[in-house]
Amino acid sequence: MGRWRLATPGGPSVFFIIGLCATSLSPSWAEEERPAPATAATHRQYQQDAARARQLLVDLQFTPNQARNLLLVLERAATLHIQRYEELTALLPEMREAYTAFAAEDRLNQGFSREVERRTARVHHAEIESGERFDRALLALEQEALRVLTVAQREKLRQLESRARPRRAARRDAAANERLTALHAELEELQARKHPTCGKFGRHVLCPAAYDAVCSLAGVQPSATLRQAVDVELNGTAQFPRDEFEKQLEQVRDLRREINNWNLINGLYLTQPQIERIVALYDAHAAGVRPTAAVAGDASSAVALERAVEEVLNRGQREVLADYKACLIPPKNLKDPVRVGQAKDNSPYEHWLERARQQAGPDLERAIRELLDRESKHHGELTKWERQERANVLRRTARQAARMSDSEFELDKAELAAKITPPDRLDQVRKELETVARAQGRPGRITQFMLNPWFIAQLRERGEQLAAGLTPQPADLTKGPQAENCDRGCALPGKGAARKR
Amino acid sequence: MRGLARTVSGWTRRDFLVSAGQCAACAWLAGLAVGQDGRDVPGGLACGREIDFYDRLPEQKIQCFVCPLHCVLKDGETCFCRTRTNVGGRLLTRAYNNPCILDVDPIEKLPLNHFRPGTHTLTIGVGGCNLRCIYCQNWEQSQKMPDELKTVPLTPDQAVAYARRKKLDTIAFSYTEPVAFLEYARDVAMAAKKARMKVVVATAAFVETEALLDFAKYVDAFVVSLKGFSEDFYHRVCGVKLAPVLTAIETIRRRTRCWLELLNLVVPSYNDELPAIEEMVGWIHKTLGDDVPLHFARFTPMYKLANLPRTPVQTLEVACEAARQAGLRYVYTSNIAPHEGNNTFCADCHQPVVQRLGFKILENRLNRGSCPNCRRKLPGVWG
Repeated sequence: MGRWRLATPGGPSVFFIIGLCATSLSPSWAEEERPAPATAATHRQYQQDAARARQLLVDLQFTPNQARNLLLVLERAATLHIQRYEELTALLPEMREAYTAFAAEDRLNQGFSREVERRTARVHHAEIESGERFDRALLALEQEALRVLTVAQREKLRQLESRARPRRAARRDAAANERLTALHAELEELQARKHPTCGKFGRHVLCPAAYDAVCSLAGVQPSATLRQAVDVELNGTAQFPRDEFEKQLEQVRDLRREINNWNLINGLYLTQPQIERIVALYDAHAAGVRPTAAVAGDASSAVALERAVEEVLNRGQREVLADYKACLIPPKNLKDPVRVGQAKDNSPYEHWLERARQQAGPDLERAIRELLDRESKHHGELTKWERQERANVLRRTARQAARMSDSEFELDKAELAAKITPPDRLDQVRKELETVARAQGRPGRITQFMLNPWFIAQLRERGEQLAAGLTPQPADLTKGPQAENCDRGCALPGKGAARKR
Repeated sequence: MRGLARTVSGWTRRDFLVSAGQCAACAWLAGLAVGQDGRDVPGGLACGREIDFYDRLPEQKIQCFVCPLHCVLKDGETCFCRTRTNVGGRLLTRAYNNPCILDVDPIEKLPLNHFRPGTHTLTIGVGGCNLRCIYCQNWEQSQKMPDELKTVPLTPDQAVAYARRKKLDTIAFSYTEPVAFLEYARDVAMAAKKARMKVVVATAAFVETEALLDFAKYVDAFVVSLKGFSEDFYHRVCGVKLAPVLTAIETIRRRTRCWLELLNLVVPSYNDELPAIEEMVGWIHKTLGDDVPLHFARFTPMYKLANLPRTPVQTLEVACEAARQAGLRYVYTSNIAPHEGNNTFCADCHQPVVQRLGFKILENRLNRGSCPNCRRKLPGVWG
């Protein structure tokens, strides 16, 4: 409440002008005191962020009083940024090592060793969790920070955010294609629900580059924590300098891109002639040669190339590409597809039903609660009403499964599981967007995933691997594991516990 | 105490003998009834139907003749396949009405590419196997006795009824080795035939000819997994012999009217040498003809060979090329998708006639089994 009282209801214009003058005329700490940035890129980024923050404060007509009220939140945001840097620096070397080993196995396309896959998954999830923790905490701080704003300022902020939203594609066709705009809006909403992140205010004003401007406006010297956060932002820590951090971060990004490309190349099972044709088309496009008119029509150059590459892929490969998601650990259908004669490849929901049908009362309720919690983590939080609805469906289906005989359940479990599997609306919207975009003659997934220099370089490498051929080394069957056989009689004892020889 | 003593002492010898006789008769009748088609028999074993192919030997011993192992069993002992047990001089199966896997699968998963593509099967698997493959992908089921597994009771008539309810007109035996539960499979197949359904079987074909021919009367298609092409490989990797398998394959092709497809799992460094593959495809071409579809499947690290890598895709492509060079017309790659080797091509005009993504049919252009382009009739069962 105190903060609200400090804000001037009449209009912040006088304070704003004073504040703006303060920002421009008297920096909160002298230039020579500010830590020198480690790299030019860091410095450039810092300057850009600072400029954005200043611009936002100007746009919102932020007052010195409001700036002063924001300082406590900034302190916590600074601590958060320092923690995030420390967490990332602890993870980066491990990520680099794990991803390097993973990429090396991915390159060979003979599956992953358990140790390498586990290590990669562990470090990858640790990074994701750290990021999500940071986003959640920053979002909470943003909510707190927004209380400093007046109603008019919040309205202004909303306007600024909605102005920033429309994408290039939507802007071009907003009038002609309302569907595209609606889909973009839904996609953003779904993404925000799945991974809630802070808005423009949190992004621009709670970041270390904004501290200088806010402190200037408040007319105070930055605290030690704020200084430390800026120092970390510009120079890193003594243990992990910023330039080393940037270097390792770049390496990890490159490794991720390489792994994603290998995953797709492995999943498509491109033959050597297909690889040669795709590479030739890409090279010709780079040299300015247009694909034949029959393929390209009157489409733009990028779309013409995409259509030419699409012609090279077979129908199955196009289907795989349409469903492809760039995951570090390849999805099961690419990594380990169901094999001929393979038994019991149950979906997670079949497993859940198998357990749930044997439970009742509080046990079943607990199982439902746990499942809903897991789903919330994957698909975003459900509202209270949605959660209740979903719990009813799960309860009803579990009871239906419980009423079935074992044989009936075995036969029907796939259908029951399909009934309780939540639809992936994000994926549906994404696919619909692609269909609309394709109808409007825009480049699609082939351009997105395949037609870039990094993918093509890796494709060339795979082509060379295929051309080199194989010289399999036959195993010595006398060494290694041996099958049991009947050389010494084959009867087994009655109850089947121990062999009788 | 006194009352009890008086009651016991009050019994005459005649009363005692009559009661004992009645009890024995009841127990015998119950045992007989359950022994026919039930799940419990005297001795506490979960066994069922008596099997057809065995000889009685002296001292209550038994010799089984279902598969070429010819196990000799003392009373209480079980065959190498873990399913047939000598119970007091009778050979009973533990597998009867006792499947551990019951599922609805695309027929391409068996894999059958020339038998009613795009249809689905009610697939049944029972614990146990007469092979000991060190790379078995279903070893958790195949290397256990049926009664060591979680099973679902299912009589032959129920199997047919379930298939009907799911609107399926094919019953398949797969996942584990049907030879290990041949009596049950035969009775289910017989019930299915009565209901005008199709029966398909995925097997390693390590089986005696007599048992095979008896079973084949009720079967429409076989997929035989030919695991390698040397006695040494079969002995050390699968625990059995190659020669009976080749005999069984030849028997299916020559002495039955069943459709036949072959599957070869290519295990890196174990059976992926080109000369061995060439020898195998040469035998197939010479003995079975050029119309038998052959599937080369990719190995995934499993069971005792979990330390091996997956089969390189190029190895499978080289094997396919060798098979085509040998004259085989329908060669496929399995366990890799999408791959050109998933599709069926017309042997004459080389146009794709059935396009697949793994087990999923993307497009079937066949017109009553004929190529729409050159009208050549493709071998198989398409209706």
